[in-house]
Amino acid sequence: MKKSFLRKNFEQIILVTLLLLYPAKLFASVMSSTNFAIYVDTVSVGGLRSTSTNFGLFDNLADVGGSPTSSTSTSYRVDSGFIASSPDPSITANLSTSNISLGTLSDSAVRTDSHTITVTTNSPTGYTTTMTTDGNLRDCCGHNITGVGDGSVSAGSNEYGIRTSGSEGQQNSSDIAPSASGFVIASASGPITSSQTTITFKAAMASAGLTPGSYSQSVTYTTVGNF
Amino acid sequence: MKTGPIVAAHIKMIRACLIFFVFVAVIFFSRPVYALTITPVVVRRDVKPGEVFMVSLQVRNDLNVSVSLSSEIKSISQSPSTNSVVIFSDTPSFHSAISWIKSPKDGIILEPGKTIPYPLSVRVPTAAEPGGWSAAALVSPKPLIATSEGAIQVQEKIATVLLFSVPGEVVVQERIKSFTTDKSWYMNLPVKFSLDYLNNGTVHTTPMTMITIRNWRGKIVSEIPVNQELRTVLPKNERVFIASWRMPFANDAFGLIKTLLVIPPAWGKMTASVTVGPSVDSQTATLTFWLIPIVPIVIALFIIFILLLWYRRALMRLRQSAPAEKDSER
Repeated sequence: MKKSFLRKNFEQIILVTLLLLYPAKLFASVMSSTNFAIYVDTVSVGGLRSTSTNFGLFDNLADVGGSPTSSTSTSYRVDSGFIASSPDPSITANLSTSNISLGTLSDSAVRTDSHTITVTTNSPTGYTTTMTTDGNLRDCCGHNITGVGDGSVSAGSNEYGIRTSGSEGQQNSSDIAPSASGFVIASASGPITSSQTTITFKAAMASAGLTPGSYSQSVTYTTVGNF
Repeated sequence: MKTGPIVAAHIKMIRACLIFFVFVAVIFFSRPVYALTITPVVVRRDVKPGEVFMVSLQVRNDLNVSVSLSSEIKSISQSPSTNSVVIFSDTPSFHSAISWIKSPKDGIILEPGKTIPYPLSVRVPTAAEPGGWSAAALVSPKPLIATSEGAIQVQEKIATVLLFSVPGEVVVQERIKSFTTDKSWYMNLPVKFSLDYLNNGTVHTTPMTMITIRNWRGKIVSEIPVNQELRTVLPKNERVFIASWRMPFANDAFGLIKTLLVIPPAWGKMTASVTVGPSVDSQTATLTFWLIPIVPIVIALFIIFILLLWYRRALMRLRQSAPAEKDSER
């Protein structure tokens, strides 16, 4: 009796099937080590990295459906192809210290203390950090230090405010009073690594009018990816 | 026996030790107090009324100490300022998904250098209206116990924005609240446009449009894309988009000087227009401004003046030399 094609070539069919499936599993996986992760890869026939002073361009050949243009509508966008793929954007925020101490205020000088927030994100639209407070800088008994209103905390006046410094700082030009409603202290419009913004807290007092004692406040920085 | 060199060696050793200790102290004590990473930054998902699902965030602790995580779900809205402010609130805003989402209980311990899934459970109400819904999940190390006297306590939170779309009959209504330039006349480019856009519908929108600039004869001289970053506007929220008409070489080396010296592609009275919304319900805004490139014009006039002067002198020399030649011929 003649053996069927399936029976006759059973071993070869199994072998070929395994050979076909194994690379598929291999190529679909995320490759990673301690220091890097390749989140997506492709088997292609060409492509290179072209650069000029202002631009860098990655391209590849033979990527079916990999048109460099996006399909868009009012509410949606589709970036197709291998080149358009990217990992889920993440955002990291580091705060150098959680406690700001302005010490003992005097009428002869502006007391300052500062700390730094460092943000890293691969989000294509960047990030924004806002600052909010739980109320005024106050003592136990309902006395407040007035938020600065003239753009500069000056010695000899009852004033309190902050100023930022750093490329992404948004309050770099004048002192501003921290408020419960909040405002932006740092932002970037694209991916950024170790974006450092220093926030300097300042307070001063007049020779009269401020009740002696300890003044305190809680401040929250919220960092969010732009969308 | 000479003791001088031995003492000097001791002093050197003590100095080296001090430098080493300062170095070690700087390394170990300047570590950030909070260092969390959250993934993803924005979650966009189509959902159906009555659907129940999980959104898995990833949180990593980048410190060398364990932290206790806490989280909260907030309503979000956008501020009509130029930067991308998101306002977080406990009060539900229009189409807020704040009540749909439950975050894990506070107190999850995250070991140093570890990443953990941070699942949010979402239950879409069966009566959820079609359209765009939103909320934000704010994750932070355990809140501070109390504000100590005489100090300002600072806490860091990182947020993931959640944008859900419920299918059905939705309203798409895009409006222009204002369309302005920062000046009414310019000596040269760039011209900065500001488009205050209102999403008056019920869906999230990503307005992508062009500002069309025409010269005094009505000819299109430039088209400036708006919102190339593909930013989203929440329903019943407004956002300001900034776009600039600039020279193509504005970002090159010496671009500022070139921009000042080179005459722009068009000048005189300009008209800029922008349209938002679908063609069946679109809105167009128009403005005019003047572009008078004074510096290149003054330079050009000066060169013309010098050339005329040179021509006049050359002509006079020619006239003076002509009688002299005639005299010599005689």
